[in-house]
Amino acid sequence: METIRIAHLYYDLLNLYGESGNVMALKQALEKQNVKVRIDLVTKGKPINFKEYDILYMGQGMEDNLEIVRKDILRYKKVLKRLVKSKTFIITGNAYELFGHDIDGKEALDIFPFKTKTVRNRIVGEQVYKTYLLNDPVIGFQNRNEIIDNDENNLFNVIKGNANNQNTHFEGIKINNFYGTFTLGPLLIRNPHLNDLIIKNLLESKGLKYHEDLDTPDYRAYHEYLKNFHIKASNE
Amino acid sequence: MKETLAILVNKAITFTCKVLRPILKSDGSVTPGYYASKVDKHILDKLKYPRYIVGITGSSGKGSTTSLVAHILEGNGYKVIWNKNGSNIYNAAATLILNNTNPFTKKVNADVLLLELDESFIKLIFNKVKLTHLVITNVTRDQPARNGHPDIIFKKIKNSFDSKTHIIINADDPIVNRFKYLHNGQVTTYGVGNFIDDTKKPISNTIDGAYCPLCETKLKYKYYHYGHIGNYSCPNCKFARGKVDYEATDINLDKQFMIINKGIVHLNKNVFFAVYYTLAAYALCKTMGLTNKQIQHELNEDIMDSKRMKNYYLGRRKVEMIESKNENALSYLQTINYIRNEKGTKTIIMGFDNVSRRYEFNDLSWLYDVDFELLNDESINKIFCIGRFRYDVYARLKHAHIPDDKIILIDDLEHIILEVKKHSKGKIYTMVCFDMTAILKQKLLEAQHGNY
Repeated sequence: METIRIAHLYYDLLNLYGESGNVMALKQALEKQNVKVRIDLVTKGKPINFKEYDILYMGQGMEDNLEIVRKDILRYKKVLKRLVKSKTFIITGNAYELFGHDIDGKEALDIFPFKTKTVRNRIVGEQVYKTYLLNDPVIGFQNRNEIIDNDENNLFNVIKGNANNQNTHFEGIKINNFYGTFTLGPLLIRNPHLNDLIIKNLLESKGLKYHEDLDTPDYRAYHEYLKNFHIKASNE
Repeated sequence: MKETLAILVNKAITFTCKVLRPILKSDGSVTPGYYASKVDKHILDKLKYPRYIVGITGSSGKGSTTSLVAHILEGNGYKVIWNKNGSNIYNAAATLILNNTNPFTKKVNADVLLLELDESFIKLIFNKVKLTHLVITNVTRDQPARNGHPDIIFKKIKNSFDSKTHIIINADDPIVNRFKYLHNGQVTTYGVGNFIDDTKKPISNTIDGAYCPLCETKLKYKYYHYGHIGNYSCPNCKFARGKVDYEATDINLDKQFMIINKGIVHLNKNVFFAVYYTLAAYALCKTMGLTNKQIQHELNEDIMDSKRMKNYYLGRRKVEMIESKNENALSYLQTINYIRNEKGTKTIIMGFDNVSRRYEFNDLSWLYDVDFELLNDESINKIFCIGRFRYDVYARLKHAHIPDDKIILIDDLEHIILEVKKHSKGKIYTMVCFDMTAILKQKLLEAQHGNY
């Protein structure tokens, strides 16, 4: 049986808003596909061998913690730049800033050219997105202190809520199998269709079959939420 | 002149609210202060305060600590003005203070002004006049949509007092303990020693303040009480919980007592957080000059009634209603721990219609910061999910590997009592938030009166 290996990166620094839910979602959905899942909690202090993982996950943290991670992750700049082309990256919340050119002038991984700026007031609120990848909308929440000046390779089109910055209606970034978004917390639990899409792409890239199952508690919760808050599914 | 008018306006509106309460539907705990500060924006800076201006703040436990402190002080003959109803925002504090102030001498008529304070409002209320004492109970994730995160809460508290304030802090919390290293004034520390339910490893990885604030090295814990609360030290520098001024040891929740610095102290509730609020109250009162004997008398003999919920019954089954704070993962966790530690078979009712009573955001991320995995226990017979977000709660429970046959979704609340009666066993615990408590109480009362 194939083993899919997931790294929960900087799990003890970037875990602010229910981020571990995303790892739970990946694990459960993968296990349903009859693959073995190994999750490693990795962090500062021991060298990280990014290459041995199929999925690299990183979530949101308090600003001071993000700064600790920024200083640590810079040593992997080269290898990460290379791996972004082949591995699945799922980066939620402010961790996504690390992949840009800089954060308030401080060096970042420079994998994407965008710059991050801290703003005065926190950006907090409900999010509803559309994405070219899926028929149905994506829901979520944001609670952040920064904006980025990206307007390319967007993951989401904002229907409701906040975009990368006030001059665009795009949010997040998607290149190859890199998914980055300011959306916090259990994004993949609340959007099982997005979770399944990522898993499907990963399994198929490994020559494995993907079996669809749309009757899970996560799908029920998702549809119930759309109904309760009058969010239109696209094919309605 | 302006000040006198502001005080009189406050008193007049309070009086009006009292008289016209049935019509206005306002209890007058907030509105008077609002109008008084319209008359004079800086009114609270201009009063003659008593010798003790005491604040109690933190993410949880501030209300319980405040009422216990009031009980101890009043029992020892102090005249205490305090916010009994727990309103802890600016206008509420202004209303309370001005109602107890002489409009002409501007003197606040008390020995002690004691306020439970929301972290965000301390600086507004005590802008020029600073607190003489401030108790900081803990800093945890709490209503993130409003408060951001623990670091932001920490910074707000940090900016709200000066070196003249004597701070009394919970050193078991590494975020709160930063004040020990930062504060230029007097610091008194308290903490809880070894306890039977401590763990060597954290229950989950969702731990705040895991790294040393001075040198960014990962902290080492001797034990965790819950969340990030425990006994830790930095392997690289001096930052540590260390020896505290007031330590609770030999805790016995069943028999409701503990030892503080060799003296026996009664607990008015059989829950772990009672240890913290009792200890905090003890440390504060000692700091204010009361003797061990004076404090112990109020705790051990003139015992304060705990805000115990009325007991309900469903047939012969006892129902315990536990108010669980949404968006405060550690408050939820403690409820779960409490239920788990109770003896016998249990049924749980949980869920909510609204995430918050303050705002309309549906931030559900905190559900994944709560260790619902702990409910995977054989003593738990059934879990009923109610409310508008029941499917999200259900999904969370499933990710916690709770088997399907233990979870029942209640789509129509009208059926809750019948369903619980028919399909579950054991003592019933409700762990719901503000919006469900009243509905469930009503249903239970109807059931008691034989409507089912």
